Amino acid sequence: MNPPKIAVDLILKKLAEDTEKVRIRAQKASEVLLSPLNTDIATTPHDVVYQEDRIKLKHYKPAEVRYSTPLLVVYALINRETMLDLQPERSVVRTFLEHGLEVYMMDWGYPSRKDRYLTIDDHVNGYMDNVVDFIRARHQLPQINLMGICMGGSFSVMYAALHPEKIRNLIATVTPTNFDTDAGLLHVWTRDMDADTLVDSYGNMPGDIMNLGFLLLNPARLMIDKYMGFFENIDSKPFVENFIRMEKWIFDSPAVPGETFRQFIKDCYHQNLLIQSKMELDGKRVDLKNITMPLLNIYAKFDHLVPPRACELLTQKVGSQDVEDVCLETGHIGIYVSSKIQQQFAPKILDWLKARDGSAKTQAAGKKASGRRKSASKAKPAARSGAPATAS
Amino acid sequence: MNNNQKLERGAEDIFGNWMQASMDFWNSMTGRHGGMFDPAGALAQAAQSSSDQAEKMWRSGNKMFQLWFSILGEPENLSSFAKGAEVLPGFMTQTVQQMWESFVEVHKQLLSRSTPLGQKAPASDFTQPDLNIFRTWKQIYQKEFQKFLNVPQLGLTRVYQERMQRFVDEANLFGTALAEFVRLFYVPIEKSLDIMQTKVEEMIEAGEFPEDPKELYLQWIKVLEGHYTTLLKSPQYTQVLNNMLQNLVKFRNARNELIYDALGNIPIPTNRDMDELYQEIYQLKKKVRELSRKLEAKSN
Repeated sequence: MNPPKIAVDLILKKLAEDTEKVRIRAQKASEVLLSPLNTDIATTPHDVVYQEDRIKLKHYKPAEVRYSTPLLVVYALINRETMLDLQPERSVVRTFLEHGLEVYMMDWGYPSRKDRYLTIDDHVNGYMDNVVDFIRARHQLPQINLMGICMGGSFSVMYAALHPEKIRNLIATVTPTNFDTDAGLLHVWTRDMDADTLVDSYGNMPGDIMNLGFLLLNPARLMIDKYMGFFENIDSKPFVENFIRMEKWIFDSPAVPGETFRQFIKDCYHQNLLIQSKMELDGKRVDLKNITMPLLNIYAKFDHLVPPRACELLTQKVGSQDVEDVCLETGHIGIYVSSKIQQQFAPKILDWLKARDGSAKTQAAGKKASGRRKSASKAKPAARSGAPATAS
Repeated sequence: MNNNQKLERGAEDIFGNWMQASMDFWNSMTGRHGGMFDPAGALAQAAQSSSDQAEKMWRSGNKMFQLWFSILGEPENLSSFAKGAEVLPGFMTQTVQQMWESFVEVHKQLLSRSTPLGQKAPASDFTQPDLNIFRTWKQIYQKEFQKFLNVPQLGLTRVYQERMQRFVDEANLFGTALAEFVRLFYVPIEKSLDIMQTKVEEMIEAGEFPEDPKELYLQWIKVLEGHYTTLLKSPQYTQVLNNMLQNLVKFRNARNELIYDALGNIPIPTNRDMDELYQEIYQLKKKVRELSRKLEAKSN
């Protein structure tokens, strides 16, 4: 008698084992879910030192200040800046503070219907300029350091080009400046998008609609596999807590002011004006050649929202001689929340800033080490962290 | 007199008799009501002037009613009325016939599209014929049904009626666009399940069925991701997505117009009202900021 082709007995045994595992997991899961969970995000202590309309300026002060120039972080209008401080052990903000860097962070707040007429100019030459002036006055400094994230990076590039005298060092992270690429799905989809009808109808672009768009970028992973992963680990309290923190952040999506959205889609995605130094804010041309301060340009190799091609041209187009490209082997969000990349991302920024910090000695060292450089990290892609394909 | 003429004559007689009877009835009713309007007693005395007015209106209305029916009761008018009445069933028949033809057309399309369902489609092909059914339906809708919603409205409430018709029209178009999008979005799931079915069959035949069912899930999710990657990059997806968004916006606008009309009657400002206000505030704030900057620069 021939043995059966398929080991049915083994399959049945495995099924029985799995059933038992599921039963035990479900029991533990109920204990985890019914117990008090610590899912707070953005817990690093800070003060709100400036407020204008809906925007707030958060100030994070280290125990010991070791950098002479503070850093202003400008996040995107999509999702929230809490991503930089998602959980204590994976917080970019905490790493900066531990190394003595004083951090200011722009909280764009939640735009309401009355903000629908605010343009990119109002954000860049209005709110951002006021905040930069406030910090300069507070520290009695002529210049401060500026770091932009995603769309906030694009705003920072525009700001640095229009107000170069106020910025000492510029750091662009996953910052789209070249929109003429098919590498990212967003670039493909928005090409035919009629921003006018959307904005005229909605006023502001609702966060939920944008979030749905981001989920549709990878439905298999973000709508199915991610939650399968959750159910597989539902009996682990730390996993559940971190997962819920991430969920809180992902779906905390303010709307984007209508006119800003319209201009960003038309000037950037449709006409690609920024990288060509043809973009105008309230009649003032954004000439990238005016960016003469040191520039660190960090982007992610596996970023499907802002692919490397959308970021890497920037250093070639600016007027500065002290530029550096860093490509990390991770995704759009992994760059800020992956524990592996945390060992490279924040330390890289800290070292780069230290080399260009205020004192004459360090400044000279920084200039000596400067020049056009291109580097890539050797880190492997981040393991699945539940990180979504959400824009920042 | 042929049979048809006899029938027509008979119908006219019946109608004429009925008309006479109804006129008599209303005459007698008017007489009785007239009696009711006669002043009698102190209360009636007090209400005399308004009562007189009402009686006058009643008599005038009745007179017009009688006049209208006596004109209609004339044999030649009765004949044309009867002919006009024949038009209505004709119109109904035509409408039903059109709807039926459209239904048959959709059905035919479905049948012709369902033929290749059992056939395998390559992974990169998202132009499956069955997706065209939505466009066919849209064409039929636009050709056969939309015109009913575009019939011009008349009178005082014309604007409101047209808005309601536009809302119904946009809701239909958005529903079709959404269905097309959902169908297209479902295609990768359908395809990946087909592939997995074939794979499982092959595994069973080769005696290599995995002991852990999770392996099958991992294979499926990988195949599904691949199909989605292909779909989401395809021009067809972009077109269907944008079409759905455009229809959503149009539907939303049509719905908002209805809501604005409703809000117009109660003391709640609409988005349109508020937007005007917000725009003014925005411009004023901008001007104030500009002036204060100029002032600061001057004082420095």
